[in-house]
Amino acid sequence: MRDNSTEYDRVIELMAKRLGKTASLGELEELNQLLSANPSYSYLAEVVLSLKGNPEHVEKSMPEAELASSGWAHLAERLNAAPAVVRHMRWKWVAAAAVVILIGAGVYRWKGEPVQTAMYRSTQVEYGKKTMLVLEDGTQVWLNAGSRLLYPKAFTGKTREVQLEGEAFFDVAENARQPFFVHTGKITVRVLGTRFDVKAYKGDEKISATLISGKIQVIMNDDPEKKILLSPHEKLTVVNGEVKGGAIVENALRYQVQLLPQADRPETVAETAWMDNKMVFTNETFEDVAIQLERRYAVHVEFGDEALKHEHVSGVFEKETLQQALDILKMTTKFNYQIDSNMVRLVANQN
Amino acid sequence: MQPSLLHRIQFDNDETAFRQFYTDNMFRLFQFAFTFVQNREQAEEIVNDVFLRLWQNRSRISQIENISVYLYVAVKNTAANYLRQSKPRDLEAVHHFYLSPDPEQILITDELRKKIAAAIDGLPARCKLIFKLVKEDGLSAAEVAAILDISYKTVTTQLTIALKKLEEALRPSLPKNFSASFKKK
Repeated sequence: MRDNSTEYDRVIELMAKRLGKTASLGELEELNQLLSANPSYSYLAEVVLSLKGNPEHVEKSMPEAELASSGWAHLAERLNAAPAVVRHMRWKWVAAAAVVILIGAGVYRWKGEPVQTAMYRSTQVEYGKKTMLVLEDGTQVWLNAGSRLLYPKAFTGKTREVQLEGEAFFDVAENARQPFFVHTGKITVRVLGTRFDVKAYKGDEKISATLISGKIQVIMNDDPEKKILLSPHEKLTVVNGEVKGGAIVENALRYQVQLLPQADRPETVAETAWMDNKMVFTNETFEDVAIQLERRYAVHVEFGDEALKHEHVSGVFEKETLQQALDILKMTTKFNYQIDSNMVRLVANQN
Repeated sequence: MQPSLLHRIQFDNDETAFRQFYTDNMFRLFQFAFTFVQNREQAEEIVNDVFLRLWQNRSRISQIENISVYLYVAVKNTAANYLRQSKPRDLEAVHHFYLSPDPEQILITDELRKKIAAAIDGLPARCKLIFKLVKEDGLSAAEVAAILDISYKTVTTQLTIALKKLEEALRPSLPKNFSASFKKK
């Protein structure tokens, strides 16, 4: 059993990490368990959550709207007084690339209404393949292996909405008057930028969204009030509450935002690597990696040893065959494999 | 902070978009500037200086990696310049914001609410500022670290200190044997 003061320090540490949006999913789960085991900690968490600027001190003495409008009036004078030198820079709208990985339940429901299939088109990609399509508005979509996209023939409404199961990279045609939404079973992504990637495979345990630059807003479908705005280089991970065996966690603990390590070139970012036919794993569990291998090589991976699933592996694969990829993984992780047509069996190394 | 607004500012020279962007972000930057200068006119002038420069350099907006961090850092640097003109002062030594639990969000007695507000108010200035930026302005630890030019670890440490003070303020409010009886279970 854990010593009380140690537990106290751990709770505080985890709460600090959650506040700073740096807690890992494992840490959020641990915090959730600690909170539910001790009401005084959970009350502290609620108090922190409810904190806001005290109106008595801030808003009354400095009303926000009044400040902004009088501030703008003063700024407008200066804008007109000093016309800026407009420099003609080359148009370098550096890829407002947002990478979104949604691994969700992927249930095909459109606000509870049955989808009128006559109006919609569906594109499905087999395992081991990829495809690219252009939507009616000019938006380009790259669909990854084992994914499906449902989209209207024409975007006629006030919004542009598509439904995704699996993973896709979107290069959305700019049109501020017709916002672009990507629906998955678990979350909805509202596109405020231009390019992003969505991953929403059925049955996976986590939903995650990563933004390279620009801005996207992620809406939790079971809690529409919960909107998360992602800033560049941030990755959002959401626990899929419906997953078998997974503990149902509190709403506030169901997601975390973490900062991606700075990458010099976008293709080195794991979340978009598949676009260049690359697979990048950084310290992921073998179990998660196996799922990606299954999609990439259209095989079924079976673990002959439970412990192997929890091994952490890293690696970058580009043109490797399945066998080559497994051999590379073998260099850092002890295991053996057997390939029988499209069945891969991983077993512990008998040493 | 919508990129579409920024996009319109950069490529369409859209002043309406700029006004919207200003209105969306002015208040929190104003509060941040006020933290340093404690003067309404000066705080507004600092924020306006920053936005004026942003407008003048709008052709390069897309090169800004994180617009939030950019704006906060610009306000901080501008405030530092202002203070050098008048009285040099430790930038983080002053504060003028108050945080307390929102009674609409949590069941809480007025007494406890005041106690918590006092606990936050009593935090060291830098600690309070970090806590405020993370909690109220919704910035991440990494962003706060970049804005205040401190290490990422320091941000987390300061948040830990803030949370411990809050916990201390809450502690006596629980029934005495409440947590003890729970632990036996």
